[in-house]
Amino acid sequence: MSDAKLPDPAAMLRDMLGQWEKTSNEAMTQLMASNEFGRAMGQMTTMSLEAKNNFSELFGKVLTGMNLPSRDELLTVATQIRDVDARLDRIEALLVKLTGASPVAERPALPRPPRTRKPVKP
Amino acid sequence: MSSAPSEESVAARVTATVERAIQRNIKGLEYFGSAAPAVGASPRDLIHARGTMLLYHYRPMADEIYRVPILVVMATTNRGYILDLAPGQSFVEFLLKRGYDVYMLDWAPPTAAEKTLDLNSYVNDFIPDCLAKVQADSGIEDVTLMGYCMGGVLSTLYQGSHADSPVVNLVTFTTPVDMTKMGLFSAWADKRWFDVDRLVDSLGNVPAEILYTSFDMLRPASRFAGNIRLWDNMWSDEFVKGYRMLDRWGADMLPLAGEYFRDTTKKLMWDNALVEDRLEVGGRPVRLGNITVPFLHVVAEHDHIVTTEASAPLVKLVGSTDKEEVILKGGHVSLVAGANAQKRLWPRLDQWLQERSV
Repeated sequence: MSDAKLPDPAAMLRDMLGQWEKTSNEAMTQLMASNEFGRAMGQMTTMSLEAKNNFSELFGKVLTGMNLPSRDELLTVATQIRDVDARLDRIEALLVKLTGASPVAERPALPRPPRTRKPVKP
Repeated sequence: MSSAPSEESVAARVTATVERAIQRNIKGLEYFGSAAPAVGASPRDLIHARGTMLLYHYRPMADEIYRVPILVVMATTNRGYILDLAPGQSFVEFLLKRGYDVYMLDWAPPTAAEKTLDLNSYVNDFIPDCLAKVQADSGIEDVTLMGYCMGGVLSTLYQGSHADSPVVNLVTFTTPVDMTKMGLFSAWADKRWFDVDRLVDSLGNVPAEILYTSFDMLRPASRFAGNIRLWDNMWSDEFVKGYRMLDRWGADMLPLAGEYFRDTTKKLMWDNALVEDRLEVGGRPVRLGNITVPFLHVVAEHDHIVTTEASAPLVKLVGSTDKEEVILKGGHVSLVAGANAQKRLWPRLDQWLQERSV
């Protein structure tokens, strides 16, 4: 049985954590909203991303030397598969238009409840 | 005058503390060895897909449903399973059990070739395409359009620029319109030092890691505090499960198509053109005043991503006569998912939708 008068050190620590989180977030938010921080962040983001890009290019050359596909090449294949998918979708849509068949005919037989529901009276 | 605590109460407190410490250690070891809980629980069918665009239909869970189907447009930075976390904790499941027919426009990571997708692609291609598919699949002309965060912005842009829209109700959650009030995002995207052209031209798509870091930096101390709280609550299976689901979702961000990012930065962030009533997308003027359907905007009181100041003008500026803004307790995510949402948003939304869905 708990006793309200008994001090709970764990609860006190939880409160302190909450207070620390709030104060730290507020202080850091203020700092990060400054022009100096924004400028530094913009420069760092661009520089680090460009470095990453250059590294990817270099690594791509290494992979080519090892006769292995790069991530970009795999993504290109994935894109081509998607494009084929999209083309199939367009052909299917055209067939549906020409034949009048239902576009949902291929879906498993689903329960299609009647659309007759009325609002519940408060 | 307060009396000293009894021996029994001290003993009970010590026993409970020791028991929790033991459980914390046992379950802490299990935590690192176990897989993350499954998410996206409600049965659904992918009925249409085109590159990054995925349209799902959730299988009805009621014997009788409302006439008007709902199309939920997910934020382009995040996965849609936040709205369908687990049985009993799923917004989608709630809607299905209350008799709504639910579709979701969700997003796959855009491929390198999709870097050319721009705001026009999302507003004037993907959304109308999905609306047409919902109409064909449900056999109903009218649709309720519902958007979360950036999904709300896209839904609003669509409805504000398509006079021939089949949308009969528009619902948005935490949707920003005044981008000068987006707090740190506005500061970081300042055109004086944020070179969006250089970023997009050199990278193509904007990687998810940049977006994740930006969101994480909005509350820099919270990750550390969250880890302490996780350890403190490690004895509770429910807490750990909820934490893992939300943590997984938060880290599971999507890259953004390059031109789309460039457009949103320039047109929405820099020009603030939506709220200033001079936005054009794909040559179509977007006017909030053109939105005349029943409109509901739900805002979170403690949203650290979309501030209430950024979303406040939306209700004022839409042209609908039947319009309402509801401010609920909670944050950007807890507004739509978790115990807070179950108690506050979901029943409130059901109340609003019922009479407008027949």
